[in-house]
Amino acid sequence: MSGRAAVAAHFRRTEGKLTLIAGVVLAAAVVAGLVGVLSIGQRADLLTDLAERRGSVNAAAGEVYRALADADATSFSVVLVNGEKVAAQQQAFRDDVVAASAALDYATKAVPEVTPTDRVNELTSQARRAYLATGGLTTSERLAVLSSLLPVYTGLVEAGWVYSSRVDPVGTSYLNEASLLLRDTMLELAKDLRDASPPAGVDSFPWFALAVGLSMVLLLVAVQRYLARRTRRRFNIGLVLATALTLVAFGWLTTASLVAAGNAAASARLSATRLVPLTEIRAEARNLDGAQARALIFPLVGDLDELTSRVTRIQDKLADVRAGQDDAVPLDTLGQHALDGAVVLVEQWPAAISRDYSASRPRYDEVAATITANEELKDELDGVIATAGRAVDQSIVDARSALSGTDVGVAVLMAVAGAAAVAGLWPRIAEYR
Amino acid sequence: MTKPPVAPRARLLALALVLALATAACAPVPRDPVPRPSAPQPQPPAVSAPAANQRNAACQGTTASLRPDGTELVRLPRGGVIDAIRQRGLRVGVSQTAAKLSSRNLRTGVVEGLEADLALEIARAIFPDRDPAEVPKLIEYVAMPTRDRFLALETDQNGRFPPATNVAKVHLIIADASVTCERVDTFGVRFSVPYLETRQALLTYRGTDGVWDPRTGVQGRTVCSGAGTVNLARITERGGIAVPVVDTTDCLVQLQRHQVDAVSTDDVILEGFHDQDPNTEIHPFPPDTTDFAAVAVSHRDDDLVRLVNAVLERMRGERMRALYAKWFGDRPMVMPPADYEGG
Repeated sequence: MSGRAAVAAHFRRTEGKLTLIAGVVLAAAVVAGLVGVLSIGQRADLLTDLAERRGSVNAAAGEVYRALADADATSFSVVLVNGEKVAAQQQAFRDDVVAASAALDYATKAVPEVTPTDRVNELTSQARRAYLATGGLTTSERLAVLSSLLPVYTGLVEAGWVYSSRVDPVGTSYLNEASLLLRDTMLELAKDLRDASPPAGVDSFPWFALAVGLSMVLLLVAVQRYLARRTRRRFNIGLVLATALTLVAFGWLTTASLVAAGNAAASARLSATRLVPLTEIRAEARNLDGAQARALIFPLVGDLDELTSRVTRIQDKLADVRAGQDDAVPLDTLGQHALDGAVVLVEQWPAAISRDYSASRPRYDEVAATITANEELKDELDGVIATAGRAVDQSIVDARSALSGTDVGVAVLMAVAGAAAVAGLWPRIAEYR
Repeated sequence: MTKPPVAPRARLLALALVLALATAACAPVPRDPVPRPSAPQPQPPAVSAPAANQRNAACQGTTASLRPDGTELVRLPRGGVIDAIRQRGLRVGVSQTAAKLSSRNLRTGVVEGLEADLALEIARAIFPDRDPAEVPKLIEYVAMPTRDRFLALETDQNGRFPPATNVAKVHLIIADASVTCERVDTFGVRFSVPYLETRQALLTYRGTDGVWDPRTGVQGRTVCSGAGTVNLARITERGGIAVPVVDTTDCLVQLQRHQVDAVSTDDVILEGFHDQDPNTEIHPFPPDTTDFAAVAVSHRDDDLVRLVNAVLERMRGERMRALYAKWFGDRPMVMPPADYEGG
């Protein structure tokens, strides 16, 4: 009883009040420092995750997509070429399949979740297969399904080649089914493997941390005013220093967060306006090669329409990429030239396609030679895609490095600020002893 | 002095606990089993068939053909379709994936088979003034997946069906097309005299003994056939589960991938399948059903129908027998009789 009364009496005196204030300021400095460090830490973790895990998955997704599109085109080229070219094209196909497999493996290592075998079997079952491409699958599921479809696809293609080389017509059917599996299911799955949107919180304004910082400043100002009234000294050096340090700490935190958010947003924007569409254009151009070859050896209803609409889609996407230039990371001259070249090239395709369907169509072997002559848009786009990929990664790295040291800095500054405030208050407390 | 010896017991307990924890930490963590997913099956191409309407109503058109008057091969009919062909070349729709009937060497684009030879005979009749060695170059083969075959003719009926406008147009379809009334009504087809008599048969793997006997029927079995063919409906009629595909040869892929129990289509096509996969065998598909395969032409091109019939009638007998022997060896085959309008 007497103890509690003594404590109450102590805090009623100015000396006690000042001690209490010193304690509160110290605690507030600790809390503010903690909030600042956590705010930075959370953003840094998200960015690290973006750079490492999602970066790995996205890079692998691009490679899977490219390799599969190339494989589709090559699977048909093999039956349209002669002599040693056959072996060369077969080798190119197998290289692409192995590249796709390696990229899937690479991405799988970056994803911590594991899809259970039962789930993979369920997803690849006949009943679910038609909806695979449209269903919402997790990254881990996508990777598992793609990994299990790849050997099936390869088997169909290799069987198609063997039958075709024996001039057994079932070879055409095998190649057709393989291509259908690839285009309708596998490419669609690979396309959505890439997740370019930055996770929530990476590009947000640090409202909470800033509010805590400002509260700390207000608290220090209030303490100053109280002290000024009590001691008739206008400034307390310790408290002024603490205020300044708090302002510096949270100013730094805000600036670093804004720079990081800007970089992360730029990375996402660059990915969405350049990297992803260009990767898709490149793959669609190769798909077109495959579709033309398929239409030559096995025409179906609506081929002309389908091929023409594919070209239109490629043209639209190219125009979008050229129109949606990002001022922050402009295309270099080389990239600009490459895109111009691609546009000029694609402009010639509709005429070539309608010629193949006209009365004056070229001979079979001539069309075959044109289709297998080169990998469309490879030369034009591969360089630009690689550059864009590096720029996207670099922006994330920049975002991450903008934050590096900030957490330690804020912690140290707030510790010093707390110490300064206590040091400023201490002589005043001592005066009353 | 009289303190109970609690402390040593507690210490002992703590020691035991620490030991237990340490042992637990050393025990191997049970690892996940190595995953063993099953191989996915390729998805068969989705079939949305613009198939011949299965109707019970009486036939509007006629399956009877037009009798050639014998002058076609001496003096070509002028004007119309024959002139157009002589200017632009002959466009022939073939299956391209049917061994022995018409199959394309993908590397060269050359089409071979009994139906390709028929096309060549017809082309020679249309271009009698050209060097016979040059005539093959005047033929352009267009591959016709089973389902879409008849859309490739320029007829009034096809003109009213939007998807047909995208199909490469041909003058003749020689693709083991069975003569049916539905096709005349739905696609505006005019058939020539038949050049082949076929029987629907069943192809399975060898060694189905003990599982099922294909001779007893297809009840409850999955049986593949081309969409829009007469064979498909007969499978359902006999209690089988019909699996339609865009092109009949896709059925062989499905059989080989163990996705269907059997394939049912014309015996001549199944023989081609058997050649490509000797691990299969052909069974009859009771009750015995006979179909006639004929050249399909647009109902607008009467001149062409007469000319084709004239060519086929000229081949009837020795030349047709030689052609059968060339592609089907010693299989007994006979050219079906003609059925002309007006008897």
